[in-house]
Amino acid sequence: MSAADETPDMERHQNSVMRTPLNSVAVQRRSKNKSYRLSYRNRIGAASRLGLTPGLTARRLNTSRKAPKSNKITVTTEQLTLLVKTEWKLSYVTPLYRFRHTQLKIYSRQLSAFIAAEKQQGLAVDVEGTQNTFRVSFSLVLGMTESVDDAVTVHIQIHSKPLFAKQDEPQKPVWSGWLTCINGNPEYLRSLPKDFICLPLFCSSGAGGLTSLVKSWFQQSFDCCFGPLEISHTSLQWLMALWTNCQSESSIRQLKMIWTLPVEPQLQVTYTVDAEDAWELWSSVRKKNTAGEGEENSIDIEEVMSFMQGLKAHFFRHFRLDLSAGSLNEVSTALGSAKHSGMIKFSNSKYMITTLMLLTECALLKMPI
Amino acid sequence: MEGASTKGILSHLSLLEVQVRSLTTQRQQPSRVKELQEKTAALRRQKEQLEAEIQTHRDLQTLRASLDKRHDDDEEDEEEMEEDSENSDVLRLMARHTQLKDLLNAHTIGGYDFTKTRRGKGLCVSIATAFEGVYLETFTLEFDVKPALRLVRHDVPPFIPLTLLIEQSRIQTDIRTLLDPLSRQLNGFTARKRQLQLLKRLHETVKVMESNLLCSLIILMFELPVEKKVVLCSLHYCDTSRSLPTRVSFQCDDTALPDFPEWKKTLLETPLHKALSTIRNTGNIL
Amino acid sequence: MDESKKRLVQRLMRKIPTKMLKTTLEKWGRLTGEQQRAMDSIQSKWALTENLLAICEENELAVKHLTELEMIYMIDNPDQGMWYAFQLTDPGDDAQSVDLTQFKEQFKSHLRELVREVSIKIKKHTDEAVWIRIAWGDASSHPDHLKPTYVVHYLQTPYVFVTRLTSKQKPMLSQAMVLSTRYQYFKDANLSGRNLTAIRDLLMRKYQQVFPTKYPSPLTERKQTVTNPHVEREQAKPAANRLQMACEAFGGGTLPQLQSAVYKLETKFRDHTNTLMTEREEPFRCVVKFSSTNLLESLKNCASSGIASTPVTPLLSSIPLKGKNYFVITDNGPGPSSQMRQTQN
Repeated sequence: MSAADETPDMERHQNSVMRTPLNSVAVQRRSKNKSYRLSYRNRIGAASRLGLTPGLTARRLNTSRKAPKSNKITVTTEQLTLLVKTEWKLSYVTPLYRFRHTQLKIYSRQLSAFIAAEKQQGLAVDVEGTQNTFRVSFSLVLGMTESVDDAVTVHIQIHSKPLFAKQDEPQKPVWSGWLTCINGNPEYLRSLPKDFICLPLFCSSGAGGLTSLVKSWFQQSFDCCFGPLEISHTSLQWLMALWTNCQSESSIRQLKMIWTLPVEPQLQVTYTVDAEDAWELWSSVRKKNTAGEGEENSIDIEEVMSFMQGLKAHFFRHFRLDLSAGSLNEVSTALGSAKHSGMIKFSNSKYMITTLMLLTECALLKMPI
Repeated sequence: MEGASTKGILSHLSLLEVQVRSLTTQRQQPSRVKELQEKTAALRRQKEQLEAEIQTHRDLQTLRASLDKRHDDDEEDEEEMEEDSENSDVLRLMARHTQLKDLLNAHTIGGYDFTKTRRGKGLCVSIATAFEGVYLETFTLEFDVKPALRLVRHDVPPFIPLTLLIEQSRIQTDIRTLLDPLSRQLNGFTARKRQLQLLKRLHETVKVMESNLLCSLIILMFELPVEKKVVLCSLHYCDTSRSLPTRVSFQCDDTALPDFPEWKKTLLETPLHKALSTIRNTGNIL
Repeated sequence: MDESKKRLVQRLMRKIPTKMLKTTLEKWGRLTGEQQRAMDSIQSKWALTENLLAICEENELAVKHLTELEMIYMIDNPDQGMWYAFQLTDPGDDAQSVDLTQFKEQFKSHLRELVREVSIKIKKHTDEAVWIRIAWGDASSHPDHLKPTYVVHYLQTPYVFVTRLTSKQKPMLSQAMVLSTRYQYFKDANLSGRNLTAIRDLLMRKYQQVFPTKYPSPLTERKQTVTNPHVEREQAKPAANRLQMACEAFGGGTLPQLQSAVYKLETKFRDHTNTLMTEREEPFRCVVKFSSTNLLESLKNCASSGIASTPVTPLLSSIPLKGKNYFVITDNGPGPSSQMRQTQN
């Protein structure tokens, strides 16, 4: 079977199915009439929900992960500055067919031409030299991998001249994006047929029009599919815990959560906890580390949940208002910010890898099998 | 007399005193002796009137007692008071009236509507205001009862000196020491506000130049049709618990014009909209 | 025409939306009928500005006339920028009898004593509000008419509403206000919002409060979400009870439109499942901000729908009760004015 034939249909299906294992609590709370649909789902959906098929159990979010460690990254500072301090819109991408890391120069030219052609379609008259208005450059981000199976991250930047710019004015970056895979599930990556490269996480920033042009060029060139990647409630809680865990090494300044409550008119609650106090609460819910000396410090989902529970309880004790009735929309610290709508920002490159591991996991959950 | 019988003799006396005082301030000229003579005469008249009132009150008491008793004894001896006085019919009606009033008072403790709230932990008091027989706004205060009586919330407007009234009262022992003066303040305020509203509605030719939220200062402008002059009339309500002004003054470019003593008297003694009707009916203003 | 006047005209025209220009200019009454008609016929903002500049020249209008126009627009459209409430405390004996003329004179003279270069304009609105526009200058500069402070005060009330006041100007306004209203102190009331009417109504108690009296006014919920008759019957009583308590806490009818409330919590962390944190001496420091297009309405609906438990916690009901939207919550003892004791139960 060719992935190209299957993906569009599969993807539509996956969209609704794969969200389930991410956050079963959230699903239960959602409307009841959704649950009957589960029984009609295909084998993958039902199986992964019950977690029966051994090969598919990996398709849930990990319940335990390594505590973030700093200075793991070996990327050049020049390239890092391209990735941090920008808010990225997240998408997932299905594996790329016949993508070659060695042909980035060709891809740069092809994508430039593609954009120029598409832009020209919109114009009534043929404008001389439109081909030169958008300059695309593909590049590799070396050193940003966690396991041997991870494909090398690819960075794309589009430069352009403003519409009424002078002749000699330099081009400015108008769009950037990157595709990455950090610590992707090895079982899944190895199960892919030859000729497929998996870079499931796509981050983009810039004009929406250009994002869709880049996406459609990838779709046409590598038989892949894109879809929006939301950051689930559970993932946001994971990020809160992972970031707070860094406080002992690097100040998170404060832990901020933004909740919305379903009342008319909508109520937004911004709950900001002092960094030191958040850290103390986090330490208090950490289980005794059973691992011996030198072993990797791991964080368990139960600890994440107790942390959240503690924060919610403190809030409830004061306001008698149940945050569980609402939804967590955004979390942020000095290390970064993440929004449910699928926006992420890395403010400190030191702890970027941990966040990207989580996001890669989320993106892989969207992959068709 | 309605005011006197409900508020008590002393307040009636003080009311008269204020009236007397305002009369004397108006007429400074007459000799002291004549003034005192008038005062003696007035007081004597008042004494006679009060004595008559006391007598009536005694008669009423006896009637009330028998009425109440009759009520209790299932209306047995009916023909008791018949020959006592020729006014017995009127008296009987009056007695019945006071009886009904007391009943009403018992229900709403002294004109205030009390409600126990939060299973006895709170107390809500509503104070209704009225002017010339028309009910106006009702204000409410909610108190905590334990450990001590404490005001929790209320809807009394900020220009009523509520904090001051609480400080001056003995609210832990007698809540009426707060409610009575507060009620007077609120009644005074709503009454003044009402008069101003009526004035604007009934007298379109009179322009309200100045007023404030408390309605404690009102400056009016009207025209004298004969002299073709514009007169400014300032009404000061220094006693904010009252509905009538304590000071009235006029201002006019023409210094030759008199100080309108008649109008002053009317404005000091009758509600604003009525006073202006009176003045207008005499044809003195437009 | 001097540059500052020109800038003021441009700024005014940028601020006033075209559709409101006509009525505002009419109220101003400085234009001849012909000039007004000419203005009405112009469409573009740029041309309108140019035309008004020409009219100012022609009618010899000064800066003071232009500030008048600004005030007219501001009084009609006060809901722009942030308004802060201040409270006057400790009234003198004569505080109740201050009248407008007295106030005007005194305010102007007191403020001029403190700041020589200051331009003050006072205007009374039909709702008895006294509007004050202050353009500040200093020893070296003339009053800056582009950044005026606006103050709204109702005589005989202890509240003052202020917008665009810098911390440097505050002591001067405070002193002029205190002296001319015969109060002792001028302090922050810890209430702010974009909607002047809302913060005014809240402090002046000009919204419908619901009291647990014997004859409660009928409460109506705007939206009925429950449709199942059985469920409805089952839930009717607790729901009505919740609604009554929600209304008692936040009010009935249309509620003053506040945008946010902030709580600075410095209270101990108490959780029987977490002894480590409960035994900790230091308070757990956090800041909670509630925001909505109509905060009181949102909170009321939280309480009536059961998201917030009833009876409503004093922390939330303090917003309308105390007329504040900034609180510092500590476990022990009274402190600064904005502090509030945490009630434990």
